[in-house]
Amino acid sequence: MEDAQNIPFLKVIILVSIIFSLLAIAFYVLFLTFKKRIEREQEALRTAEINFERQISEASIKAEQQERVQIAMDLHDEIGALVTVLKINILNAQNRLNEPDRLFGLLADTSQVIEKTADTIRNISNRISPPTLVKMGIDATLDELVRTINATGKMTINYQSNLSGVRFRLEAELNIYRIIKETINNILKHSHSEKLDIEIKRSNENIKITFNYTGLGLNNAQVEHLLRQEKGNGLKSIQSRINNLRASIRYEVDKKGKAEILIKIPIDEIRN
Amino acid sequence: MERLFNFSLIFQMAAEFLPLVFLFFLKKQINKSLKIFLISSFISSFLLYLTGVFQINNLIIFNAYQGITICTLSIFYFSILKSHLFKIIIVIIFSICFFTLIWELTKTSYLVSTLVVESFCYIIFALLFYIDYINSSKVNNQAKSYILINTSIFIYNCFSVLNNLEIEKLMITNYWFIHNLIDGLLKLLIAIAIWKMPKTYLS
Repeated sequence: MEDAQNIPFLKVIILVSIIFSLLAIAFYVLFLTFKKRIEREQEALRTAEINFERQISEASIKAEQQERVQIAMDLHDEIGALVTVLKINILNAQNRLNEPDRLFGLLADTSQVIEKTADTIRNISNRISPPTLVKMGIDATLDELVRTINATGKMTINYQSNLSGVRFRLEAELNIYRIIKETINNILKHSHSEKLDIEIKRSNENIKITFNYTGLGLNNAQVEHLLRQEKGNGLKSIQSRINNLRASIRYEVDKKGKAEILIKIPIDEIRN
Repeated sequence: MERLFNFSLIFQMAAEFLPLVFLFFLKKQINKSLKIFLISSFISSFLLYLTGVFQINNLIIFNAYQGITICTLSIFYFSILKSHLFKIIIVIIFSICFFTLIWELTKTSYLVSTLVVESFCYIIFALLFYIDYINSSKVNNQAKSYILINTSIFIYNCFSVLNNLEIEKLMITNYWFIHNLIDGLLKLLIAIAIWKMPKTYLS
């Protein structure tokens, strides 16, 4: 045994082996450092993602609250004012029962006020949930919306779809309607475009909604940047509804200014 | 020196026993092939010690232990790695290793090349695990314990890859106590890993 212990070669092997194991330990320490850095980065990414989701959700709530405030103001300012006029007209009519000419004029005026009140109520109701959507579905509602916008002369919208007669869950239809309305609104406000093509194609797997126009557009990176800022509540509201439908949205714009927005909604998410 | 050698042997045996104690008494959830590896490691060390004391030929025990180790560790790494490419690499490496074992067993019965090839294989397995761990997004508590086990296998094989070239000569020197101490320390690392593992869920 002593002879064997004196073999220098064996000592070298043991020494080198120890060095190898020390190198392995050093490698493990390096791995741990790298792992911790990656875990920190992943954690930061997760936090950023949570904050982003929260921002979108807050924007959606804020948009809904703003809508409610607007409806409350409309009810108060418009309906309230009209009802006050009606009340005054009725009081005046009571005092002028012996003056048929003036009474007739008051009644005609009252009739006009009632008509205006009905129009205002219809408009407010449309903003909350378009009655056509409930009765006729998304296709007819969008057709109506496009006709209304075309009538204003601000933009010419060409709308095509193969949705005719097809119905989806009402909640989903309302979400799709609001996404399209908000997108049109954004294009109207920012694109400086006079013409917009909207196409809706339904297949067995999904619904593809395409917006094509020439003007100022955004690409995915720009939208992503806007979504992470305080501004862009409209975009956040769209994104929130897109998330609700488990859909996807893609923004593209080329150098010539041809812009496209493509929305894909899985049919399983909206099926009745 | 001889006292140090005997101490290292007892320490190694005790350290090998500790993971089994944690495994069975604390009812830890662990990969089955790793469990078999740990049990066979303890039994073979114990039997090698006994046969050494009574000067009985223990070649068959040593060879059987090597065969079991190749199979169990390959299955262990195959089951815990997520990457398909790494799984294929493991199958290829296992085939090479197993072929070397069979070839050497039929030729001489003394395993030398197999031990060296085996150590290289385990080093590659361990490195693959580190890469796989870094690449995987979801990590559970079990994977964190497997890192320690993997590190133990990695360090041990980095140490033993050269030793295996002259294992017969080294084993009869008192310097073998360094091997026993390192092996014991790394088995303690495995024991800590098992201690940290989640308990078996009873249905």
